[in-house]
Amino acid sequence: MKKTKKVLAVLAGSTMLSLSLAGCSQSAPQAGGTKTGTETADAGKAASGGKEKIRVFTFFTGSDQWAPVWSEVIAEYMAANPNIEIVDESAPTAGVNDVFRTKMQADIAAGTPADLSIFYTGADGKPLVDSGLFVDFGTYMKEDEKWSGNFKQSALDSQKYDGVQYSLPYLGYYEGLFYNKELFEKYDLEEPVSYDNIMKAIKVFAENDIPAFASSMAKPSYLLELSILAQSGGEGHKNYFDDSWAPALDSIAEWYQMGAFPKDTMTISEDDIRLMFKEGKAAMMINGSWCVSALEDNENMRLIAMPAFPGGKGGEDCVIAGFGSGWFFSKKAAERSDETLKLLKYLTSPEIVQKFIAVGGSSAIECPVPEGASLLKKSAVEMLNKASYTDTAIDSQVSREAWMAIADDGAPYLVEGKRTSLELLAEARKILEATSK
Amino acid sequence: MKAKRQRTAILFLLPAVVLLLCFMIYPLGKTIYYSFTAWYNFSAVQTFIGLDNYKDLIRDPVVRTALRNTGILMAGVLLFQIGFALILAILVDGVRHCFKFFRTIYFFPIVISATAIGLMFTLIYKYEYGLLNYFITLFGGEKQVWINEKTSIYLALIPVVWQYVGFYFVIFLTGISNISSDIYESAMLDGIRPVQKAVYITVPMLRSVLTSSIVLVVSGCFKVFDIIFMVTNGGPLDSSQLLSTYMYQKAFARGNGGYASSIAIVMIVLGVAVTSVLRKMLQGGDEDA
Repeated sequence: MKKTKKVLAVLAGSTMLSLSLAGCSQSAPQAGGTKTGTETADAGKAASGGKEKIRVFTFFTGSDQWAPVWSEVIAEYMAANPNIEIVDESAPTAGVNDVFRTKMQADIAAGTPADLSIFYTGADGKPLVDSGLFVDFGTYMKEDEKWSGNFKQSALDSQKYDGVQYSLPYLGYYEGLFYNKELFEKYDLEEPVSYDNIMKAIKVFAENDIPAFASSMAKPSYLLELSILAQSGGEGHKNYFDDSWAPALDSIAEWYQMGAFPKDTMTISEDDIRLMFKEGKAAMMINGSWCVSALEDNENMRLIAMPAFPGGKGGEDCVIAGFGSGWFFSKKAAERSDETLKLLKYLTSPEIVQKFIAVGGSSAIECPVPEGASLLKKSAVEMLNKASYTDTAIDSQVSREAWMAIADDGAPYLVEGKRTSLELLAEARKILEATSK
Repeated sequence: MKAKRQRTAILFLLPAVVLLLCFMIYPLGKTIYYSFTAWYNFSAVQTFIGLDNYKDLIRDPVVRTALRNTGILMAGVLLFQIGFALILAILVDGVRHCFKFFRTIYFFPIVISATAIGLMFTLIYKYEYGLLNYFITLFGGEKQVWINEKTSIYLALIPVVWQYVGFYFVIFLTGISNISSDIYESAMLDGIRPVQKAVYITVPMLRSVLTSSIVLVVSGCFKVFDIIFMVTNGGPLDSSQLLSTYMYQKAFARGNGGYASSIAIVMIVLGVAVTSVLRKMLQGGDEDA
């Protein structure tokens, strides 16, 4: 008896530790869709007032540039549709701890995604498609061509999985090299339009105790993505983790040794990186369109493509841009009523999209260009116009773990000289192979 | 009559057993299974790969760092959490005035969520906008990078210790209040001094409470996650990684569920083994006494 008690106690205690993982188990999608208790509770109308609840999941929250617009837009919708209650489950995506991704993974594993979700597409969106929990937009788009005709065809095509439209592109992004013109002028430096100018700037700024780059080795993805493109060019960009990428990684290590990054680059958060650059405490920042709205008030801010690295094939004609995320519409919501689709059509209408674009990013929907663009925005448009090769960020094209092998997991070891670029690339290739099986 | 009573008892016990089976035993079984598979991005496909995840685990230097850090954490909490809590309890027990005030102050961190504590210490340690560096520069000093490879685990240990000192403080205080006042009074008649009173009467009389607290503290080390996640996120260069944070990163940030499951199993086995050995050692001591 005593023994049984002990065994039970040990089992109970130990199982607590495993709950978090096993709770994420997932069975193959069921045909027919028998509703579970949770589903029934979620799906029905609220007991009081007969309002239909629509669960929506986005990254428009916290410090995200579109968060205020999002709040305004959904509040307006609820005011105009008193029978609807939008349950905003948005989670932040910036920072070292990506809560956004984790929440979606947990929702998918539990089979309870939000009715309408914005999530990463490409390799990141594949598990959503494979889960069988989301609709194919094809039929809906054929039924309402006036609405679907608003989407740019190239943007739609970029989000097809085996020819099927599982997600609708919304707000696009671009990445580039931001720089503070004022700091370059102050130290009599030429603007960072070439690799040599960058190297000279790093040296001068380091002598003056100013980080040349506001960049974090705890989250070095943007730095890596642009450096790799500057090295490989469009030609080698899709040769994932090829040894030809090594010089780009080595350049980052060299910059680190020259003192190009903040002293706390190993731990600094993404939010602090942006703040540091905004406050003029760093001269350059490799980041994306989501930072534009916070910086455009400063007329000294500019954005350019990363210049080609020595012997590299990239340069101002190569840009990272695209629609890395899109709307996913759950089957459960589609079966319940037309209200979620109605909300989606409202959110993807040109009038609403224009409000988002006025803040930042580019649009997958044809809509008028916002008036009175800042100098920073103009430089971004110029950067995009010069580019003959445009591709999405690599981390959206390969498995997460493979990318992490050279990014968050590998870059700190690389710059500290504890691992070589070739070792990291070989490891990433190995993981990519394993995850592609 | 007896059989009826037993049936009723079983009936009342059944819901708990069902819950235990659904939410503990079944997930444990699934985790064991996943640990033998290649399972990525929480997909529906798992490929059986035998012991490969465990072989990788043995070769993984981060796992070794995590184990070392767990050891440091155990030593730290034993020494400081139990030590400080005991000293504070003995001191507060001897205070005639403001007893409730001290009890509330020391217990207070327990009611703050670990995430909030983690965030608070993150703000303290920050280089550019941190509180410590603010004071250093205020007095003309030079800013320091507080969290680095050598210091990270120790700096993350401070909030972990701070949060639970109050919990064990209250346990010890309750234990002390249960010690018969006759013993203290007779010792006082013999002219005992406060330090002697603590060393020769209070601590030996708290032995059973101390034993339970030590087991709780040590087993709790395998569950520490939130504060480390907030303060260092296991970095820099994995220097403050624990098995729990590494498991989370592998599962949710990298999408490698199979490998993360094997880490979870190692955590379970280690947790059970260490707790059992410790309990046996401490109980053995009790029997000798």
